[in-house]
Amino acid sequence: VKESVYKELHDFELQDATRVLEWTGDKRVCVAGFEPTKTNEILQLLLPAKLHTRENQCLERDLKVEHGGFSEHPVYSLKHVPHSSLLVTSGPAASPVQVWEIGNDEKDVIKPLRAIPSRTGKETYTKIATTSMPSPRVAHGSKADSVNITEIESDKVLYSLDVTRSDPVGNLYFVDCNTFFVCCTSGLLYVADVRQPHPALEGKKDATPAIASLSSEGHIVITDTRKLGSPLKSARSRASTPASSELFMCVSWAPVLDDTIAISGLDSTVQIYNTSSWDATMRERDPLFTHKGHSVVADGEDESVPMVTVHSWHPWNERTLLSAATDGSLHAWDWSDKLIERDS
Amino acid sequence: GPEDVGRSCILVSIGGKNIMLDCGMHMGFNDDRRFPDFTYITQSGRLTDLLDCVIISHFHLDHCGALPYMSEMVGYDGPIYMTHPTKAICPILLEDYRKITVDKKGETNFFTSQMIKDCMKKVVAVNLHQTVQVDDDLEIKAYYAGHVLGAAMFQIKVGSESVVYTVSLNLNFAFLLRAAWIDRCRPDLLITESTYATTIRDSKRCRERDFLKKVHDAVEKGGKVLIPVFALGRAQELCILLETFWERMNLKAPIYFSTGLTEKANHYYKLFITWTNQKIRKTFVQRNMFEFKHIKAFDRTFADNPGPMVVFATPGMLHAGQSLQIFRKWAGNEKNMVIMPGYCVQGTVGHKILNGQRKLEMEGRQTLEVKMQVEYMSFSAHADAKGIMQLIRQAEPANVLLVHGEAKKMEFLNHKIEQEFKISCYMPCNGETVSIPTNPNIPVDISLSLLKKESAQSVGPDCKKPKLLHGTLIMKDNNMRLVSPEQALKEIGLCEHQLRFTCRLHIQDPHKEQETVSRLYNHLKSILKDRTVQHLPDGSIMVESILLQVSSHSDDPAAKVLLISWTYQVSIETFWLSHLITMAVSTIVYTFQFHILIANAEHYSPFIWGEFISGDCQKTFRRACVY
Repeated sequence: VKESVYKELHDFELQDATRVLEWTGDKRVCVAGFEPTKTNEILQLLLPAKLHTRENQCLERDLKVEHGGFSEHPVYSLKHVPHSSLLVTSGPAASPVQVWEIGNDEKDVIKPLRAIPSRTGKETYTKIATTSMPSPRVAHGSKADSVNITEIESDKVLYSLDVTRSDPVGNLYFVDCNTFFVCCTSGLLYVADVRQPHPALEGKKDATPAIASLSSEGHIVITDTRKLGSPLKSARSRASTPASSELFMCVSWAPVLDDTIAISGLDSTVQIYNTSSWDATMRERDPLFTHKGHSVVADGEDESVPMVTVHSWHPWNERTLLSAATDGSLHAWDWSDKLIERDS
Repeated sequence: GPEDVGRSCILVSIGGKNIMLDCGMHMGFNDDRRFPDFTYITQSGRLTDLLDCVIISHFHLDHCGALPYMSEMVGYDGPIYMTHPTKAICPILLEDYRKITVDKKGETNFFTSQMIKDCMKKVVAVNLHQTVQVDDDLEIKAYYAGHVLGAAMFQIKVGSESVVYTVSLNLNFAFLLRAAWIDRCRPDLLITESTYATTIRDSKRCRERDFLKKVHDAVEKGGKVLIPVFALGRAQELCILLETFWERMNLKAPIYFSTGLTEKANHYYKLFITWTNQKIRKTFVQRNMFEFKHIKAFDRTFADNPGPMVVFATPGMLHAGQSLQIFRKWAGNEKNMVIMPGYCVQGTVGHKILNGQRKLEMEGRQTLEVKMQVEYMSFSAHADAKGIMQLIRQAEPANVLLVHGEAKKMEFLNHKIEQEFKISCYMPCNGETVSIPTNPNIPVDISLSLLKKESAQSVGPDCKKPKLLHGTLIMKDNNMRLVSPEQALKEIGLCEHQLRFTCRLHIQDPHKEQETVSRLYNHLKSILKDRTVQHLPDGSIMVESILLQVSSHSDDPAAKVLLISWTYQVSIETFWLSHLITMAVSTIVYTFQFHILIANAEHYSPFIWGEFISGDCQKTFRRACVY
C-alpha cells in the first residue's frame, strides 16, 4: 500500500467551529464562530514557533490565544486589512459588514469599530474582500448589482459595480489594489478595474493570475482573466458527491508552489491538485494529496463525519496548510508528495 | 516544561484561616528575588503564628523550590501538605538544584541539605479524596490533577466557605495518568493560572506521532537516540509507545533502558500505582512494566557499539549519572539525537541544550560541543483553554481567580469567563490583594421550647416556606444560640426594661384632683361600655392596659395634667383604644371648654401618632418616652 505522509501534523481543538481562517501577518491567524444562537468569539491565534520559523529547533506545539472579541452575529466571512490592525466581518443575510480593531500588545481584545452600510441580501450573505492600498477599503456585496467598495475610514462608497444582473455573489477577491473579481454562484465571473466605470466580462488586457473556481458538483475550472468566456482548464475532483451546501466551498492557489490548488467544502477532506497537466476537457483527476484527518473521529464519539469548513495556505511554507472542520478541529499540516511503501 | 519561569506563591485568607498555596522559586534570578517576598506576611519573626498551613500542588520547583528557605531560613513549623508522590520527588529535585546552585556555582545564602531534610519532616503526605482536618475548622482535600505524577488540586474549606486551587490539570485521558476530575463542589473561589486559559493544545496523538517520527528518522539514518528520563516520569509511557511502533514498523534497531531505572521505576510504580490509569494498572498486574519484546537492559559498554540504537537513561535533566555519560559520548555526532521528554531545572545540561546552547563547559574545564540534534517532547498534558472551561463548568465556582505573569490586560478572557458562566473573574497582579465576598451560612442553635412556641404560632398551609422567628440571639464562645428573651435575660443577668409611650394633656379644671379623676372615670365608663375600666386605689384609672393619671400644678390648682401611658407592646386593638380614650378625654376637654386638638386617628404606629400630635398641639403632648 502506498501512502502519502505528513512532514508535520498538528491537531488542535477549538471551542467552537470556525469557517474562517484568515492570516494576520505570517505568525497569526484569526478564527471565528458561526453559531446562530449564541454570542460568537473572534480569536487571533499565535501559531506555535514550529509553524512560523524556519529554524528546526522549536519546542512549542501549542496555539496561544492573543486577542479575542465577541460578535453578536455569526461570522461567515472575515478578512484582515493588510498592514493594519483592522478586521472586517460579515455574517448571514441581514447582519452588517462590521469593522473591528485588534488591540495592541498590552490588551487582549478585538473591539468592534463600526458597521459599513451595505445592502444585505436575503438569500445569500454579504461577501467581502479587503485591500489597504491606497487606503483601507472593503469590497462587499451579496448580489452582482450591489457590489460596492467602501473606504473604511470615511464610509465613502468609492466604487459600485455597474452591472444589471443580480446573480448571488459567491466570492470577491482583490487581484491587486485596483483590480478585483467577482465570482457569482451561477458561475458568472466579473473582473473590475476601479479606475474604469464598467466591468469587463471579457477580462483584462494585461496579464493577471488565472482564476480557479469550484462548483458544488466538484468541478474545478481554471479561467484566464484575459479570456473569461471559456475555461482554460477543467477537472472533476475524485469521488466527491455534490456538496450538501455551498456554505463551506473553498478553493485556493498555493502561494509558493506553481499551478497548485487546494479545494475543500465538498466532504471531510482537503484535496491538493497540480493543474499543470490539465486541459479544457472535464476529466476526473487524481489529487496530489488528500488530507483526511478531519474524518478521524475520537474513539467512543458516535458523531457524523465532520465537514471541512475552510482551508488556508501558509504564506511562505510551501506545503503547509491550515484547515478547520465543523467539529471544531483545526489542523496544521505539512504534506509531502513523496509516497512511502508500507506493508498492509 | 521550558515555559516554567514564575514563582508561585499565593496567600489565601478564608474564614479567619491563612493558607499558603505553593512556595515556588523563580529560576531566572540568582539573588533574593528568586524566592517569594515573605516580608509581605511578616517583617520580622516566624511565619508559624501567621500561617495555618502550606499546600504544595506538584513537584516542579517553581511551585515548591522555596520551601526549605521558607520553613528553615524564614521560619515555619506548621504543617506542609502534599501528595505522596510529590513528597517522594520534591526533596530529590530540591537537592539537585541545591547542588547546582551552591556546589557548582558557589552561591551563598542558600538552603543546605540538612535544611531540605528538616523541611521535609514538616511535610504531611495526603491521599487523594482524603479529607484532612488541619484544625477544628479548616479542612483540605486533594483531587487528582494529572499533568505530572502526584499533581493535585486542593479544596480548602472553612465552614461553608471554600476555595479550589489548581495550577495544572489534565482533563483528557492521558496514556498513563488518569484524567482529572472534581466534584460539583461549588466553591466560593477557583484559583488557577491564566496561561492555561489562553493555550490551545496540540493533540496527544500528534505529539506522540512527532516523537515516533523523530526517533524513526534518526534511527533510519543510523543515528543513536538518547532519551533522558526521570524514573517517575514518562519512561514507561514512552517505552510502550516505542515497543508498539517497533512492532508495527518491523524495526530492528535495539532499544535499551538502564537497569537502575527499571528497579527504581518499578519500586515507585508499586508505590504509586493508584495514580496511574486502569489500563496501566492491569498491565502492571499481569507483567512487569519492563518486560518488553524489543526493549532490553542496558550495559554501559553498549554505548560504544556501532549502529543505531535508542537508550532510555536517568536522570532526566542530564545533570549527572548515566544519561550524562552517554550524552558526552554521543554529543559530537550530528546523526545522533537527544530527546528531552520532560522538565528541566535551570542550570542543568538539559536546560542549557534546550535553550539552544551548543558549547557546554564540563567538569575539568573541558568544553563539549553539541552537534547532535536536540529535541523536546512536551508530553506534559497541561490543561488548556478548553480544560479550564470544563473545570469551571464541573466545579461551578462562584468566582474565578486567574494567576498570571503577563503584563497584558486580560480583558477578553475576563469577559469570556464572566459571560459564559455569569460569575466574577479576577486577575490580580503580583503583590495585589483581592477580596471576594461570600455568603457564609452561620449555624445557630435554637432551644426546643422556643422552636415549639414559635412554630405553634405560625401553623398554616405553607408550612414549608421560610418562617419568621422571634427570639434573642446570644453570641458566646464562637457559637450562636437563639433563645427566648426571658431566658436570654436570665443567662446574661440583665433585668428587663419596659418601654412606655406617654401623652400629657394640660387641662383647666377648677375641681379637686380626685373629682376630676372620678368625672373622667365615669365618662370613660359610660362611653367604653364593653371595656374594663378600673378606678385604682392609688387614684389612677386603668382602661384595659392603658394608664391614666391626673395631677395638678402646685401654683395653679385649676391647671391639671392628664398623663396617659401605654406600653410599646400594645396590640393594634389596644392602640385603637388609647386613641379612643384620648378622644373621650377631648370630649371632656371640650365640655370643660378647653380646646385641644386631637390627632387624626389614621396613624397606626404609636410613634408616628405621638410625633404628629406633638407637632400639632404646640408641644402640649410630649413624644413617647421611656419610663
